[in-house]
Amino acid sequence: MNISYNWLREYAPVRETPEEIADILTMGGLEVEGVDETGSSMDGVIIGRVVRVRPHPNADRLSCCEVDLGGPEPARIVCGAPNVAEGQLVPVATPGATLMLPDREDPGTRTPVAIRKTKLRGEPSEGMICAEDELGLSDNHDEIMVLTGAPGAEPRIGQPFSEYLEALGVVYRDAVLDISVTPNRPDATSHLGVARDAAALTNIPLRLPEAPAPEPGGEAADLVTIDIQAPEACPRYVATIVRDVTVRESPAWLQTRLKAIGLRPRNHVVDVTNYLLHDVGQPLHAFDFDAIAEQRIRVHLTKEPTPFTTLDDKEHTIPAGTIMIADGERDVAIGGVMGGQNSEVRETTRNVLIESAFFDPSHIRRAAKALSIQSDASYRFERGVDPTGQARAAARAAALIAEMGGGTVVPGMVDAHPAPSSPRHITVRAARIDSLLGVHIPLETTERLLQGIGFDVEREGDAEAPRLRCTVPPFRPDIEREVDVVEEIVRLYGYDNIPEPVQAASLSSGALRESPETRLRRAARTLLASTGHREIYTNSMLRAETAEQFAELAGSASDRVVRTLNPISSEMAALRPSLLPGALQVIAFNRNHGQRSLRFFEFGHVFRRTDGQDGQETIVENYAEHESMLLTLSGQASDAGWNTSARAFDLFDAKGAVEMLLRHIRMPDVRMAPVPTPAPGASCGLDIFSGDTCIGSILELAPDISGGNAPEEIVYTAELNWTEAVRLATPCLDRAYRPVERHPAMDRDIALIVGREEPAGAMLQTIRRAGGRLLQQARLFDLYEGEHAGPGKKSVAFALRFGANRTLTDREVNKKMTRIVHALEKEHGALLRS
Amino acid sequence: MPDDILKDIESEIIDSKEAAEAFRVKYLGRKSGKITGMLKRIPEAPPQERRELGRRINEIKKRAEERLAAFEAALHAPDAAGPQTGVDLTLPGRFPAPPGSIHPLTHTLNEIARVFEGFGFSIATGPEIETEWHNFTALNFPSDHPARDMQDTFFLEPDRVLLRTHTSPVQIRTLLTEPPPVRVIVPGRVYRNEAVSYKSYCLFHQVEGLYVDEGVTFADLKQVLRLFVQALFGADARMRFRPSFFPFTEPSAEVDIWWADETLPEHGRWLEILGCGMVDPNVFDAVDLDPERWTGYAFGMGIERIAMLRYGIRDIRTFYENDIRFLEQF
Repeated sequence: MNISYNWLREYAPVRETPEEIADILTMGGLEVEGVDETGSSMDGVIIGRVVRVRPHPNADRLSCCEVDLGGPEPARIVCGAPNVAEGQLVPVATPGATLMLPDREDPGTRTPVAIRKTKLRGEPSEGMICAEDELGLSDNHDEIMVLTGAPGAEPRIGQPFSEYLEALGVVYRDAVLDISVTPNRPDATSHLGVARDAAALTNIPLRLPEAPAPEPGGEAADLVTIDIQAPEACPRYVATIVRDVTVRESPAWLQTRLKAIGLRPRNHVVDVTNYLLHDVGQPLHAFDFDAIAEQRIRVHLTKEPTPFTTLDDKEHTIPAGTIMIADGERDVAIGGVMGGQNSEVRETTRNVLIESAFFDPSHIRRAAKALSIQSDASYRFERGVDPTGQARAAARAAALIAEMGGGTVVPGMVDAHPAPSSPRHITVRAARIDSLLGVHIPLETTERLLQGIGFDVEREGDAEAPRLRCTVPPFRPDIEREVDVVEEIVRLYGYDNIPEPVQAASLSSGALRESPETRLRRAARTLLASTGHREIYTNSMLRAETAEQFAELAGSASDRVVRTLNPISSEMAALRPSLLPGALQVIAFNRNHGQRSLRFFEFGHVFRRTDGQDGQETIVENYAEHESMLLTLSGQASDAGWNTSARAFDLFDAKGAVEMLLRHIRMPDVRMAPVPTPAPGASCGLDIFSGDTCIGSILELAPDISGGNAPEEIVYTAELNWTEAVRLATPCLDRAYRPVERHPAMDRDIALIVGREEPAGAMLQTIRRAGGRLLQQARLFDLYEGEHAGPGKKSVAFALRFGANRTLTDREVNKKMTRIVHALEKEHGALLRS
Repeated sequence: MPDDILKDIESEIIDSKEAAEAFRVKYLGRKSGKITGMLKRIPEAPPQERRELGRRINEIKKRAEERLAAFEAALHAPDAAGPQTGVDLTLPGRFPAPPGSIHPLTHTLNEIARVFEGFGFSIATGPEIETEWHNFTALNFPSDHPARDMQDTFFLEPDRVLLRTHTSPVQIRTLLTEPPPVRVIVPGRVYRNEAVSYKSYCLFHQVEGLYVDEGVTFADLKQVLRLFVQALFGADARMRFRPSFFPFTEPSAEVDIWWADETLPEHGRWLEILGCGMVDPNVFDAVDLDPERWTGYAFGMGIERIAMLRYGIRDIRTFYENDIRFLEQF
C-alpha cells in the first residue's frame, strides 16, 4: 500500500525525514518495504530577473534573453515561451541542474535531464527559464512561471528557488512509503490510519480531518429510499446526493495527491471517492443518480449465479450469496467490490449519489476471491472498515464533489443503519502485561500509549492489582481480547525497549537426551558420508504414473498411491511411495553432467493410502507415512589406479554398505534373504530382516529402469524403513559392557566341496548353529568354481575362530569342528576337502 | 685403525637431525671427533708414512661429510625416492573410501539444532500429511483465512487432510501429548502450492521452536533468539525485533539481521530470518491448557533461507538438483 509522506504529514506533522519515518513505522508494526522519493530537488534552480528580451535572429518563436542572476554578468538564455518579458522575476535552471522533464508524448512519465551551456540555432544559451511542468509543480507547459510573491515570500534575484517555494508554503517534493499491512491492522489502510501510528510513535498529536456530518433525513431522504434486505451482510448504508454538478478534471492538489500514490486521475467525482478511500479508509461509490431506477437502492444477496458487467466493461458471473446493490429494476454494483457499467459516473452525469457503506468482511472476501477482483475497496472491506465512519466520509465526499463541480449538496442524508454496533470494552490487568512481557511498564506509560492510538482508558481495581478498562476505538475490530491490547502496548513501547532477563535462561527441566531417532540418523549420515556417499534431497511429489510404478517396487500396491487434489502440474500430482524415483533422477542428471561414480543416500518421508484396511496404525486416518533411507550406487565403484583396477558397482557393494550400516547402528539379528521373484523393474534382490520383521530390500534394477544395460549403467539400491529400523535398534542402543575375553582364541580353516547352487549364506548359518557359543567368528574367505572342484561343484572355504572365557582344549575344538562338518555334510551335501 | 673408523662411519644410522648432529660430533667434532683426533695425531706417525696416512684420513673425512650431506639432501627433498626402500613414495595414497558429503540443508539444520539443544531444547517431529485441524484450526487460523485456500495449500481431502504448510502443527501434537514444561524444536519438510522459481519451491524445510512453562516472557524469547543469532551469524551480528502478525502468536515479531552489502547505498540491508511470538491463548485453549497458568513462546525459520544466506546460494532449486559439483562443496 502506497502512503504519501506529504499527505501523511497533514494529519501527523512529523519532523522526521521519510526514511526516518519509514524506520519508525516499521519498528512499530507497519513494515515499510520501500521509500521512493519523488519530485524535483530544485538544486541549481535560482530566481533571476529578465533584463532584456530580443527576437532570435534565426527562429521566429524563440527569444534571446539576458537574465540577471545576481552575478557580475547577466546570463544569456534562449527562451521559447510566448509570455517572456523584460522585468519578470523567473525561476532559472542553471547549468549543472538536473530537472525531471516530462515526456512530450506522454506527460505522465518524466526523465532526468541535465541542463548544460549550449547553442540554440546559433545563439548561446546558459540555462533554462522554467515552466511549472518543468519543475514538477503542475502539468502547465503553456508559459514560463512569473514569480509575483506573497507577503513574507518575496522573490529575490539570486535566491534559491526552493527557498522561495518553502516561504510560499508550496510542497514540491514527496516520498512514497510502500507499506506491507498485516491482516490484523485494518485501521492502517489509509493515510489517516498510518498517521495515527506515526503520531503515536513520535509522540505528537494527531490532527483529525474536519468532517461535520449532517443529521440523517432531510431532503436527501425524500429523494432516495434505501432498503437493506441482508443486514448481516450490510449492517449500514449511508447515501448523500449532489445535484447539478458538472463533471470536470480535478484541481491540481487532488491530482497531485492521487498521482503521488500511483493512481491516475479520472474525473473529479471518481477522484474524490478514491481520495477519501485512501484518506480515511472508507471505500465510497458514486452512482449516476439519474441511472438509478425508481430512486431506490436495494441491498440483497444473489440467490443464483447472475451475469453482471462491471464499470471496467468486464462481464462476470456473480456467484450465489454475493452482496449486490440494485435499483428499482436491476443490479447496479457488486457491493464492496466494484460498481456497474450501467450506473457509472460519466462526463454527462448531472446528479450523483454517493454510497458509503459497511459490508461484512467475509462476504466481501468470498466475492472478491470468486470473481478474482482485488479492488482498493474490497481490500479494505475484507479487513473491516470503521463501522462509524460512513456518514463523515459521505458528507466530505458530497461537499468536495459539489465544490469542485459547481453543484449543490442535497441537504440531509440517508443512514440506513439497521445493526448499530456498540463500542467494545476490554479489561487489561497491569500484572498480566508485565508477566507476559517480562518488563514493568509504568501504568501512566501504558495509558499514554493506548490513548495515542484512540483508546479510552480508565483505571480500575485497587493499587495492589490495578486494571485498565479500555474502550476499543471502532476502527480496531481486530482487538477482542486482553492479549490483543497487550500487543498494542508493546509494539508502541518498542520491542527494542524490552530488556533481556538479567539471569541466563533457566536450565531445561525437559529431557536432554538425544532421541534414538535423532541419534541413529546422525550416526548413519556420518557413516555414509565418510564412506563415500553423498546426501541428496529430492522432491516428495512426482507423476502419479511414476508413483504407481515405484509403489510396487517398494512392496506397496499401486492403488495405494497418495494424490493431491490440486497439484501444481501433472509432474507433481502424487506423493512418493519410495525415495527411489527421486534418486534415479539425480543419477540421470549427474550422468548427463559427466559423473561416472554415483553413490547417493537420502532420508525422507514416503507415503501411502491405507483407507483403514491394512490395520496399520496411522497418525492421520487413511494415510500412512514413515521415514525411509535410500542408498543408490551406480557406475564406477573404483577408478583405475596405479595398483588398483577399475571396477563397476555390483549388488555386493550395496549389500556390504547396508551390512556395514546395520552393524554400525547395532541392528539386532540381521538376515538377508534372496527374493524368489523380483518385482517388475528389478533384476534380482534381497529382503532385509531384523528378526522376523522385514525392514527393507536391496535391488539390482532392471536395465530399462537403470537407464542402460552396461555394467556401469545398472543401478543398485537399498531402501530401509528407517522408522521401523529405529524402533528395532533402539533397545540395543544401551548395552552393558561385556568383559573382553583374555584367553587365547583358536583359529581353524575348513574347505568344502559343495554343489554349485548351494547358497553360502545358508552354509554360514549352519556353521554358526553347529558351532554354538564357542564359535565366535565365521568368515567365508575363498570361493572357487573351476575344474579342480569338479563338474557342477564349487569349493568354499571358511575361517573359524573359537574362544571362551577360559582356555579351550584341542579336544573341545575338534569336537565342535566334527559337529560342524557333520552338519554341513548332512544339510548341504558338503564334502570336506583334504 | 682408520679402516675400523671407516666401517663405523658406513654403519652409523643417520635418520634424524639429532642423529646427524651426534654423528658430526662423534667423527668431525673439533675437540673429540675421531677423525679430528686422527688428523691431530699425524705428526706422531713416522715421517715416511705421514703422507699416506694423511691422504687416507682425508678420504675417511670426505666419506663422513658425504654421509652428512646425503642426509641433509634427503631432509630437504622429501619427495625424493627413499634411498633404502626402492619404492616411489611420491605415488598417490589410497583413500580408505572416496569422499562423500552431507547435504548443505542437513549441515544448516544440524547447526541450528546444535544451538538449541545447547539451550535445553529436545527434537520433536510430526507427519507431513496433516489434518486441517492441526495445521490451521488449532493454530487459530480463522475459517476463511487465505492460507486455507487451495491456491496456497495442497489438499488430499477437501477441508480435512492436507500437506502441512508449516511445522507448527507439531506444536499442537506436542502440547496434546506432553504436559508442560515443554521445550522442543521441530525440524521438517513443509509444502506450499506456489509456482517454482529461483526464490520459491513447492516444498522447503523449517525449524519450529516451542517453549511452554509457567512464567515464560517475551523478554525470554528475545534472549534466546539473540543468543541463537549470535551463535549462527557471529557475536557482532546486528539484529532487530519487528512487530508482525501470525495467527498463533501474540504479540508476534519478525527478526531481521543486518546483511552487509557494500554495493548498496546503506552498505547493507535488513533481511528477515525468522518469525516468532508468544503463544496465543487460543492455541492453549485448543490443546486444553489454561492460558492463565501457562505462557510460552514459539518461533519458526526456513532452513533453505538460512542456508542460502550462509553459503551465498541464490537459487533455491539448487538444493533439489543434487549436482555432485554442488554437493561436493559441503
